[in-house]
Amino acid sequence: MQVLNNQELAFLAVLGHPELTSRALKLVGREHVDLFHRTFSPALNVMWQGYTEVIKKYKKEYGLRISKDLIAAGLSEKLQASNSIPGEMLDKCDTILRRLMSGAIPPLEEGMSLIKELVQLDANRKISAAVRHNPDIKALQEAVDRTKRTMSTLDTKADVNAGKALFSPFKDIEELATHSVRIPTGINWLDEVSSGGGRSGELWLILGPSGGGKTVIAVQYSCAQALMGNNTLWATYEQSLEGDISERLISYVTGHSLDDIRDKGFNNLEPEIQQQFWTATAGVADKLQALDMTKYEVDEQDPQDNRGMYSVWKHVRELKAKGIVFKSIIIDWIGAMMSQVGAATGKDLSKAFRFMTQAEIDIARAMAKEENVQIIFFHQTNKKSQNAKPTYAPDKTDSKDMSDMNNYFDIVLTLGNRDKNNIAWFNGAKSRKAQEIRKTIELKGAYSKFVLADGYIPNRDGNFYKPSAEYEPDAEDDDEVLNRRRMAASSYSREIN
Amino acid sequence: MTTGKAVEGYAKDALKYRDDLPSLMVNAVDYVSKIFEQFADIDQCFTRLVEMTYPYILYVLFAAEGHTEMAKRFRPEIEEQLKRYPSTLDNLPESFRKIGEEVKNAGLK
Repeated sequence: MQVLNNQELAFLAVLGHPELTSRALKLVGREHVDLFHRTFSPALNVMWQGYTEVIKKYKKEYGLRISKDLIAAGLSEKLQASNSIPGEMLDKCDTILRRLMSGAIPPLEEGMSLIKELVQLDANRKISAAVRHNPDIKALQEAVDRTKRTMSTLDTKADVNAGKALFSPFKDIEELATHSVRIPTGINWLDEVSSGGGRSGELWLILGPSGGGKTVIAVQYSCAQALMGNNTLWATYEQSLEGDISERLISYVTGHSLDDIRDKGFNNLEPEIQQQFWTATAGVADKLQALDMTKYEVDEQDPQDNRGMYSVWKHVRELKAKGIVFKSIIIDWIGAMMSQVGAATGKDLSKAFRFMTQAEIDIARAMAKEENVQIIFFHQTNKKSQNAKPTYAPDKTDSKDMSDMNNYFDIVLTLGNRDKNNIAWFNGAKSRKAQEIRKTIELKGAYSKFVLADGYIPNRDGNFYKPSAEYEPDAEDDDEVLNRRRMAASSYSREIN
Repeated sequence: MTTGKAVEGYAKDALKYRDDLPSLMVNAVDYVSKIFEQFADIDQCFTRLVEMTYPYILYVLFAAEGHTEMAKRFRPEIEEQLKRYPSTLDNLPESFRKIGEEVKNAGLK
């Protein structure tokens, strides 16, 4: 009985072959596999595809028991030690890898065609043949058969341990494969703190004071996603789509000041701005879908419909049925959402009000996983951080005060108050970096960027500047500016903590 | 409140992690292809790209692709980056090393 097809066996052999694997990894550079995977590493692509297919099949259909059988028969070692791949194939792989890596980056199309070429290489067929006649592989097939018959005895501790032992040689590749499915954010500093972007199924939390620049980030992110061809859903619980959000989007897309756009309505804008908007969004305008939760009507027939995450998920499913599949969802913002949920359900959420209820988090987590989306939540920082001067750099405690919800988010970023120069402290309380990140960020108009602030970046001599008076806010001006920003950004106000 | 000492601590932390060059370059490949597809005006393309990725990343990318003219636009940024973080290019894959060497040989550290 042919359990695995020839291609899978070939892939298994490639994966199990230490020489080819190490050659490829050595050439590519283990830590840079991701880069080459998405640019021009066909051999690695083949390895990944084969790896994921084979492992998926093992895990789903045969369970971990197979590994026990393999180890009992000493097949795992044999597989790796066997030299069943013809030298010709090794040479071809090497040639292609070297060609791709020695010179300029070829266009993506060429890279893709090379991948196909490698898959279709005649040598691949030879590998399949070699693998098919390999006695170890035959034994593997028998082991798979046996495993299939004894599926009912799976899930024991021994099976799990055996499984880990089998898969450990591939662990690096699995991690790299997982690493590769990032959703680039389209914002340089956000890419930096997230090591290349979000992953499907992740929940992010961006905290900031009222008027502190959260919407700036949301606008920049959603526009960049649209440009990248990714569908994004923006669920707004507070700001109106027709007004503030649309104006900010137009400002960002056209590069014109928000003052040229605010309160005018699209049709009354300068023809030049209108034209720029249509040109810049041609072909991608429909990528950004908005869901105005302030106008959401609860379905009386659906007891779970509560204007919260369930309602958002419902909308996502409805659009999915129409062929619109989202990669990211923006929830702007949690406090307003919980307020709406409380109003819709008539429940007293005052205790949960400072953050999300467990039920909402559970739904969000389930939605992210099931729909393969990344969800970015925005929320306000605690009172201490809200009322602090811009010189106050938020730290872990400013999000920790929001209860232990940090545990539920994959990335937590906190903004401080902006000073009169639009510079704010930024804290990556939880990011993909080993250390907590503290930087300063400029949030102006619809743009945000890290700035090389005094006191943070070493100068050319390796010394560090002390904080500059330039960033010290003038006490009177600052309060005035801060209050104005808060009023402008938020028609909705409430006390946190 | 942030003190000078705390800031100095942040700065030391900053040395422990440097920009994640490989990931940023992966994304830059996507950004460049999408933005050049979307915008006809090349200046507008660069305005967008600089927001989406860092200028020095664009330098490495364009230099690697052999687009000398485009790389020239970002030459000052890569020079500045290498002055601030001399090891920025050290972890690049082999084929990109020549870019770092070329920049360094031009009189930078």
